[in-house]
Amino acid sequence: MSPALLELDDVRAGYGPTSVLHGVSLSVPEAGIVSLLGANGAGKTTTLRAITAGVRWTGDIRFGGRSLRRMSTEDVVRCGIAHVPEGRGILTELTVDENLRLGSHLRRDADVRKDYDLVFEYFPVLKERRRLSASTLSGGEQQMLAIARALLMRPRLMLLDEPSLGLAPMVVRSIFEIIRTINQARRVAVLLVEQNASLALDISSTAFVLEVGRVAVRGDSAQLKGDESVRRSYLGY
Amino acid sequence: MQELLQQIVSGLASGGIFASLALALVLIYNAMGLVNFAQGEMAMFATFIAFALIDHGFSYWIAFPITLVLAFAGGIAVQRIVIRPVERAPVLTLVIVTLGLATLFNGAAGFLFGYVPRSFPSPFSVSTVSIFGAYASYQDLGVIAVSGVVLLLIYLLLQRTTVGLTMRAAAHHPEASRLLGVRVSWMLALGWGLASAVGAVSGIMAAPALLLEPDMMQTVIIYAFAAAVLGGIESPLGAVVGGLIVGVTVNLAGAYLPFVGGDLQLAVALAIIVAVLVVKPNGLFGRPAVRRV
Repeated sequence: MSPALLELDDVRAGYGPTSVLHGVSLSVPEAGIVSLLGANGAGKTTTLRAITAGVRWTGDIRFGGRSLRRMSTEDVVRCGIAHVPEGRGILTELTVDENLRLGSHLRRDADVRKDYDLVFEYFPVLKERRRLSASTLSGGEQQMLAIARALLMRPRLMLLDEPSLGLAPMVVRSIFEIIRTINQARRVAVLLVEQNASLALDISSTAFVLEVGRVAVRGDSAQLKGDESVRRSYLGY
Repeated sequence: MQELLQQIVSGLASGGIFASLALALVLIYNAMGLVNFAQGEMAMFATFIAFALIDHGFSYWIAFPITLVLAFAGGIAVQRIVIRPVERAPVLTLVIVTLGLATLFNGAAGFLFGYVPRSFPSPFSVSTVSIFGAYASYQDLGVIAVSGVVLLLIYLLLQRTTVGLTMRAAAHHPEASRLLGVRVSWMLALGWGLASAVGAVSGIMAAPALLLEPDMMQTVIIYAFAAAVLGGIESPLGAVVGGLIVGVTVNLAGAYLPFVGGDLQLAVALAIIVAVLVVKPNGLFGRPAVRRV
């Protein structure tokens, strides 16, 4: 296995007096796709939020060998982590184009223009709607915008929180197809939180299953998919 | 007809002053959902700085930009030192803090510069020029031009630059903006700096007519509130349009309604505030607040 890009080591976190994560350890290899599964309230979203400093945590989180302890959200993001949060984080007061520009606003390199072309190749609908307010987009288009914007940040790692939520199956399939393409073409690692376990196991190589704030199962995605007992006890399908 | 035109031009001149201060209010309201009651006093204090610079021999057009830069830095300092520690406090706490700031600036100006009204120079002559048969003073036209340029610059900054984009993003969606690497707290500080500089323009433009003293902006801020509320407190464009409408309305009411005269002009502004809040609480350009419950 290639060296870990992201490592969580015994991470505990919570909101005020309520603790949600009771010691989560997991890792994402360079350019790998890892899915994080589990029931509602198991701590999947909180795990992602801990990584980008949206919630206080203890333990250790390392990215590219460097500890993220005591870093602000802005600084973590600037290290090369793009987090597409629950609800997609679209700025609905702004246009589609302005949302995309917020993805690339920190970049000074010459490839920005190429990346825009690439993004519009993946999501032609965004090119058509560039000048429109992001609030006019459908749910699927907003998810595309969120992923496109994350791509423009040129991250080494993308955190995707339930990209399939509330979308039609066909839209979900095309979005997952593009996630796979981004991962392969750009060597962007992905940590994918999903309710739709079957879909997530298809795309990822490794999976972690959370149960009440702990990693209950970890393993090879294909194996987990075939494991009847794991499927029944944790994945609910 | 001629007189009407003249009244409208001079109304637009006061409107430019109200619009600048109203825009300052809107910039801060947008950034943190707070009406900065100290905006007028900060503008007055900046005007005293301009006065001191001119008094020390700087020419007007040198003192003007220096004052704006100092006001900008001062606004940032106020946000960092006074506002930031209470940033997450309930809005009422913040309101009280801005009221305290207002008192502080007012007292400091009185302490440093005294309470005697001083005449403030204007770079524009008071002589008049004929436009379509109506006479407008260069002073009024100059105020309109300066306010117009400043408002245009702010518009371009917010709409056409990356910094402006990140400021708007930080104001509307702080959490989502952080995830895009925007330094939200600094964007708020920048908003305070800009607001302070725009406010300073209104103070400097108002001073020749009002005479400079610590209470100079206390009526202007009421007009600016009226302008911001009329335009929709969240809309920079609304603040500008609102400012011009309030300026012209108040001026026309003073000239043509015998019972208003010079004494009740402020009441007209208050009437506008009440009427807008009753009839169209979101103002001309504001969006209705929609909340999911």
